[in-house]
Amino acid sequence: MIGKSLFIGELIEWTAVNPEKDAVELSNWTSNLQFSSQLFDKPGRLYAVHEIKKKVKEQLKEADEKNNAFVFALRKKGTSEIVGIVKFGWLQFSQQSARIFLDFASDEALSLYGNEVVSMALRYGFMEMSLHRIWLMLSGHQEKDIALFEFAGFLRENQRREASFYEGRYYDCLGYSLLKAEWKKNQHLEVAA
Amino acid sequence: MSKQFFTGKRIELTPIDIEKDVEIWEGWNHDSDYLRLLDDFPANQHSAPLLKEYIEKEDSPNALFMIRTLKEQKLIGFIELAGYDWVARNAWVGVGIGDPDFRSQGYGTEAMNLLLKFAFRGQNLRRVNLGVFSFNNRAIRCYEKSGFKYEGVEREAIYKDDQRWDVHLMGVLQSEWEAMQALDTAD
Repeated sequence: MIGKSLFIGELIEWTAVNPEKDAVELSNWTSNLQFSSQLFDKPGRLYAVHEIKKKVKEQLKEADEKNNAFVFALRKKGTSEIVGIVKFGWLQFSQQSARIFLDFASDEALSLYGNEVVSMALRYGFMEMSLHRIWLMLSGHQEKDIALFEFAGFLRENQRREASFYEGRYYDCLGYSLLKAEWKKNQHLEVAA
Repeated sequence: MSKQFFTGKRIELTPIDIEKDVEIWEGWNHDSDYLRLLDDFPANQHSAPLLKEYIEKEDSPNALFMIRTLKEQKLIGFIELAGYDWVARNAWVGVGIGDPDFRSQGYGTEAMNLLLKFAFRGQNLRRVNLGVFSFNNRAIRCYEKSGFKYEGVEREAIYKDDQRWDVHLMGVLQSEWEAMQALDTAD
């Protein structure tokens, strides 16, 4: 159990989000309205650096106090360059379930680091948070994310018709989940009885 | 839009009376079966003053309604729209008939129809979502009657009684609901 870091992979390491240092980069990402709407759970818009500093700080403080979200900055290993954010939210420990949010700075970053980050996230979720179920929601237009999570073994389990809107049109909202037993099977590990 | 807009045949939707209604609300929660069908959070007890405080401080766009009988003005349950997505124009509905004497008699369906009218004709939403536990057959029948369609599950999302249960997701589109209304009028 001890020895292989949860936070350091081949290409990426997980560290804390630092609102002061990361705000410029995060402000850039808000031009992706999918990202900015999910970041603050409000209709997406551009957020200025000072707004990001204040709001992200508040958000991280609340997550820590209420213990209802775990948020990590994804950085190129050995550097401070932030290439994405992974968050476990909607934590319901009594149901052993959490929702994962994964955002990358660019499609290129997703292609380069996606598989490693998802694989680290599943180990963290199932082996450290002791979850039974990890779930997420994607919009029909997020083809690269869909491919990433399907490759990792996630099953599409619901499809809410026209529940998402992006760049002028409606898309179905796709619900995915992976259960611990399925993940372990994929890992060629024996499921504990 | 007037009070009539929120009035059905036997019930009406009203705002909460923060002094009186929370006392009744606290009483509903004594029924653990009710709580276990309503929410995936471990069933818990909250005093009326705490409920009051919680509702008062909630600065949210959620639309919370009390369900009252027209004749006696008896509070029998609540219905709420929450989790709004104003870009895709949809929200999530939650409903509970807290008073056991009023269950299985179509009051929930009547409240849901009023709520959907409010959502589609009042707030111009395009769809309404809900999640219901797979073992809650009474609620599923009610939602089907109101026009909701099955859209999949959340596998093993509920862990109660040492068992894993699915949540069913359902949704109704504004266009589908309006088509239902046109049919009802034609009858």
